[in-house]
Amino acid sequence: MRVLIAEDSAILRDGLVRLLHAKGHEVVGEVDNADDLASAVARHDPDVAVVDVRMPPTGTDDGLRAAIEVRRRHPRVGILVFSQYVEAHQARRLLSEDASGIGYLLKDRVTEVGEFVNAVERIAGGDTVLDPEVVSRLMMARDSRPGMAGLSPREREVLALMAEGRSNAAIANALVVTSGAVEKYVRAIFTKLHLPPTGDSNRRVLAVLRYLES
Amino acid sequence: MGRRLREAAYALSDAPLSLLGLLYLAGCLVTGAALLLVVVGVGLLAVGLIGAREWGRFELARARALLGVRLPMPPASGPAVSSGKWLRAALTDGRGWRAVGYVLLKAPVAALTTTVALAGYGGAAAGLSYPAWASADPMVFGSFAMDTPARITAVALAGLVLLGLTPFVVAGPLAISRVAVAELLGPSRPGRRVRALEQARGQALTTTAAELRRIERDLHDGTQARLVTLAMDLGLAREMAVTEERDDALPALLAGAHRNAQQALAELRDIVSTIHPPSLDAGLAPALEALAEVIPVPVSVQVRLRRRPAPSIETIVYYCAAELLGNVVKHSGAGTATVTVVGERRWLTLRVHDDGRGGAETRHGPPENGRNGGGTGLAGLAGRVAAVDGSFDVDSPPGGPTTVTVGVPVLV
Repeated sequence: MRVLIAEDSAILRDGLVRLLHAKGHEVVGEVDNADDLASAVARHDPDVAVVDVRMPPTGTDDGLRAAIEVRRRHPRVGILVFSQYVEAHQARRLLSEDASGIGYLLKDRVTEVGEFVNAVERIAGGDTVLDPEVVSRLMMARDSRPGMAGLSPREREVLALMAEGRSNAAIANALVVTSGAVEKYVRAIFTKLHLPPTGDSNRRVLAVLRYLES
Repeated sequence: MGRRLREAAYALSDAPLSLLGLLYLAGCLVTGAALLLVVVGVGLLAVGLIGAREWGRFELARARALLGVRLPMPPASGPAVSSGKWLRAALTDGRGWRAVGYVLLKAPVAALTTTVALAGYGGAAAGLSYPAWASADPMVFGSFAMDTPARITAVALAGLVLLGLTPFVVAGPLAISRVAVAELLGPSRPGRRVRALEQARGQALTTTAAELRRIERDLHDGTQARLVTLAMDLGLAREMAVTEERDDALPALLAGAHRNAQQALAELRDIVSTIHPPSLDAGLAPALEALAEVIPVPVSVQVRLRRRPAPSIETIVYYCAAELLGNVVKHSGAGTATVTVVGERRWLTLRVHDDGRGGAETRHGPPENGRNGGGTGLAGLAGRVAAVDGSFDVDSPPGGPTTVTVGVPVLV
């Protein structure tokens, strides 16, 4: 996998390069500011760009804006944006275009090296990866407005767990119900959110997004 | 030249305008006072006071435009609420009464000002235009007629000298007007105090926000990034250890992680010490002595305090000294420096002196300029000091020496 890193902290950038190398991936380019991201993507044509939200020139959300720009110009390049803090509105802005091959993770997730590299790989493959904490924040905000999209409280619970990337079995375990019951809830959720039953593994994340957009 | 012209315009218009003000005031107040027993009299008095206030605004504007007086314009009088409140507000308005005082005081001053200006500029005009009318109506002083070309030139020159001198003569009465405007039309003493305190409060908020922003940045860019990398390296190392892929990378990875942890600790210590230097706990004198020891230029420290200052004052004095000594090292090229702290009962003075090349100035750059922006630089220090209502003076002629004097209240 060919990865481009956009991160202004040299310490962290070196760490990411070290990690990706150790996991057998190639780091094709490194930039330390948001302005250089788009041209670097055009030059190196990476599979995934790993982008820090907060970068020069202004040190606010330059990385996020540059990532959205890259998505418009190079829709095929996967983008993983990471942020120091959970900012639901950032996730929403990023995902508002086309959610496939997009990830939004908390910076701290990097420390779970296996999961992090796995997320980068999934994004390169076109998956959508959302940080569990981001999802639960988004869901929480939405949960305070009951009755949205016509989901029952139980279905919302299942959806929240789904959004965190848990399997049906894990959800069943967490809610102390049978797997069959979970499957029934999941099917109901997909139907209510008008998601056609394709074999797309992304459908679970799409369900969350659809729900959040409704 | 523009200034002279404006002052001349002020001086020449002073008497007619002041007379106008006096007549208006006399009309309203004297009639109002005379009719005081009748209800109408009170109203007339109030109208007179409001008028005086508005007249004061006009006079202040004139002084601002022509004399370059730097005073804020007071707000215009508010709309009348109800007749009772309106009357009461007008009659108890301090600014109205002060404006009355101004009009009364100003009349003789204005008469003097305009007389001097008329005599000076009129004489100058007569002298300078003398060549044009000398032949028609020559000046005669006793038996001495100014009719030869040389004498005509002499009169014209005298006019020129008079033109040059008049502004300096007029400056005297104008100075009285300046004082009168400042004392009677500008903000009152409590008003000025409120303004100064408002500015200090704004400054304190700005400084605090900039300071917090700096700490947040330092933590985010340094320590946080280091800890994330450290955790990442440890995660990788753990995986290597578990999967028995113990190649040569593992020791290097652990060494890097160890180094990162030490660096993070050092950075944290630095950041913490910029928030509150631990040496300050023992007091200003030991803290400043400890500070002087780590400065590469020989620094002599003298601290004389009558009482221990408030902790916030100690912190400000300490950081001023640290920043100023830092400047000495960075910019002055000085061989020695002295730090003197003299604390009286209410006021504390910090003086940092060096024998370097001088030329330091308080530059007010944009606070977000660069990583260290905000709370640093002489302007940043001045801001910190202003936040506690202190004073900040830089005396640094090119070629040196430099003395920065900081005055702060002992208690806040």
